[in-house]
Amino acid sequence: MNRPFQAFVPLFGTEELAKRPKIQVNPAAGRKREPLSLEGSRLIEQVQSKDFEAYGRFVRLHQDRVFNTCWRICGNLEDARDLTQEAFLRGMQSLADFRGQSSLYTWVFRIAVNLALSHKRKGKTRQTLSLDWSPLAEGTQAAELAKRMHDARAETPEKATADAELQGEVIKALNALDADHRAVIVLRDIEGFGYREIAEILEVAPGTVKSRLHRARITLREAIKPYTARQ
Amino acid sequence: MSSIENDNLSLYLSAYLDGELTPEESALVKRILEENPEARALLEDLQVGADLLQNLPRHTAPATLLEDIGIHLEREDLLNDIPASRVETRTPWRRQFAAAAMFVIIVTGGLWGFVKFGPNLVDPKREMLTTTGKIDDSPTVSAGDVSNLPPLTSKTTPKSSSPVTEKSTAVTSLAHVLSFEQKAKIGMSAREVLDHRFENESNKLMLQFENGEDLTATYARLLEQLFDRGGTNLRETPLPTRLDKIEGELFYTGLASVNYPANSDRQLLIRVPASAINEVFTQVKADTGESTNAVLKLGELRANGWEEAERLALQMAGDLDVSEETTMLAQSDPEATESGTQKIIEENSIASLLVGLTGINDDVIAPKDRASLEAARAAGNAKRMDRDRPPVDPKSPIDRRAKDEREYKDRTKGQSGEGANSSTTSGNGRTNDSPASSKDSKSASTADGDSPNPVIKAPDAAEKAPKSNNPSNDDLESAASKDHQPDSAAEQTGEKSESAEKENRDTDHTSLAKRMIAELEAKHASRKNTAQASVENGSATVPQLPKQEDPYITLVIQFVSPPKDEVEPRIPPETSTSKPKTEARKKPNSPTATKEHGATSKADKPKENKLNGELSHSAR
Repeated sequence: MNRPFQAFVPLFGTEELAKRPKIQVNPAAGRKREPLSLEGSRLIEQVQSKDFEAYGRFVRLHQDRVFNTCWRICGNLEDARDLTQEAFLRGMQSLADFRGQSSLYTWVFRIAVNLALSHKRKGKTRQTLSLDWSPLAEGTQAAELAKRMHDARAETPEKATADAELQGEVIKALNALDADHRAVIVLRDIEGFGYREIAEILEVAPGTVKSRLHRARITLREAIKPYTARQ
Repeated sequence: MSSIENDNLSLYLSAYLDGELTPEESALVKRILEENPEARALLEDLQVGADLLQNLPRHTAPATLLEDIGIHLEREDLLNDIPASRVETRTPWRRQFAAAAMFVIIVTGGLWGFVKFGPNLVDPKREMLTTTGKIDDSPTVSAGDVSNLPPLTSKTTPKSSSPVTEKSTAVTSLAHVLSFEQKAKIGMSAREVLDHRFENESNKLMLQFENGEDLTATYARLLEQLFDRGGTNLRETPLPTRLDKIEGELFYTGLASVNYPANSDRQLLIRVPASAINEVFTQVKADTGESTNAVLKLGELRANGWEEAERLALQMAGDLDVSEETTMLAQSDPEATESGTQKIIEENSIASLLVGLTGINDDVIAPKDRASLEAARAAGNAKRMDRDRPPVDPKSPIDRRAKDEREYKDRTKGQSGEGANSSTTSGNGRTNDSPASSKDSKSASTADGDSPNPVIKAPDAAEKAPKSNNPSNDDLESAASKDHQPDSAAEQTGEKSESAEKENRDTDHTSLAKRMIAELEAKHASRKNTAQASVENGSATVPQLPKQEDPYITLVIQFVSPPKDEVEPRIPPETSTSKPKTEARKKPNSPTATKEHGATSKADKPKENKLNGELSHSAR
């Protein structure tokens, strides 16, 4: 069934992975996402002079990445929404403190990640339903709808279940990581930041980023190994 | 394993995967990978894990994020520059501090009360006295003791307008600037949310179904329709008294078929391409039929039923007086009706409602339909200019509608003074005839009896005019433009040939349509220039996304069951106030329907308010 939303359907599951060429690592290129533009001093000047419009453009440009990062760190969409808003607000309110030693984007991201980490450590996550269908949310009415939608997109019911199960395990393993490790792996593997940027955001040494990422990946690997091996 | 220790291998592989090794380290790792299958397996596992993470679903940030930030900043101003973070709910330590302070105050007050009144209050005899209300025979208690009791009435401190009160007033006033979601989020009452006015929410439209029946099937079909046409960002929230407990949030982008119960205590928010709205509504309208009263809410406007919505859409899209326009189209220019002008306008109705009321960019309408819409608007503008009205701002539909209502009121006054069948003259001299009166109000141009284009004259001349059965739109327009001319001039006009009249009429409409299109193009050009300027300013990489150009709207769908014992507040289209509208559409020639049509918006007002109240009540 050709549906307009299919372009947004995320690829997940081992079958898609199996189709990809194995181990085609290009160490020089890394796994960066789109280049981060709009970091010129002009914008910073505009924003520092309380140019709301310029800041609005800045927000629009980066809101999705900040939102997704907050979501994956705190694990709750509603909270992520609040945290994103709070991060941009604080960024606006404390622009006077920005000294230009890092990029404005990294600086706002640091605020967002710190907020999300602080939020996570305090265990303030709201009791809401899981957003991705997974066995975790099973038994609820909304989860039932999500499952139907998910099944409808899959090629076969078996594959749909397997994919969803694997994805559920990945999310579960991610949520099981402690906040620091989770932040690193989210910033690297989900948001595609480089080690140096992550070090700037988290205000740690690049070596710490490397070791935390390594530990997080090994933990994640152990958690999902039974499922990847089975499939 | 050469210079890399076994323990460090995975660390190096992880960094190698990210391309974060130096060239020397990278070469070393490559060599190890060639030699060691375990290392290759480990790298593969790490790659799989990273890919799985990278392919987790992503979401777009809330569409209202920027707006919310703006509201926060506005709130800061309202609260005398108190930082938003201080009044935010997300300040746990402040809350804790406040709670601790409150606790200390209570404990201190309690201790003070105990010290001052304690000995008496804990006296068991005193207890007996106070609880039974009569003095015991016991010698230890006397009337004197009773009179020595401290007064039971507590001291009342005079009320003063404290800063707290002022702040709460300021916070209350925020209800006017909060968005729909924000109201729901901060836990405003269901009534506040249901009655929310959407005039400032340029990307929101509410569709409310009022029906006591089970609407599960309707709900499922509606969802399916919306998803099939690119609906996304589906959210479902409950509708209890407080809405801060979000039950479930579904951010899925696909749906094949759902069988989801429609409950009266839920509402659905979904982002839908505005261009798909009309199609979806048409389908849902066909599905729901007469049994369901669908209510469209937007700003102060509340359309009960599809027909009312369509009427509003037509009215707002082209500033047309729908009933008049329909009547005149049918009476004067059958060709125009047959050519599908009217039909196309109707097909565009809901989309037009959006364009007219929310200012959504015209681009969201298909080009084919846009042309017809422009023509309809041009026609509407022609009428408007004939009435010598001052130019109105198309971006302020509320004002425009109020103006229409005022004009209608003026016209009605004139009508009531002249009798039911006489011509109704507006304040600017425009004449609007019923068929009966139009037979009497003939122009000289119809003296030969052949011309289907009679010119309607001023009331004094109308009595002398010969009969005609076809008063037309253009006749009315020409009459409006010439009603200050002497009769002889009108006769001269009437001697024009039919073809010349038609040619003039076509020219008028064409030129108006051309002008409208030119205005639209100028608007686009100015936008383009603004974008060009931003390029020159150095902010070229930033996409300009004005709110009006967002091709998506958020559709708020509510299923509201009216109370079983109170059927009266429901206003289906068939009831007394809505009936004339229906008739006006079915019988375009009916002048009565035409006249009553415009009055319905006023007549409905009190009932609408009542309806809102009932709905809110039922939702709770």
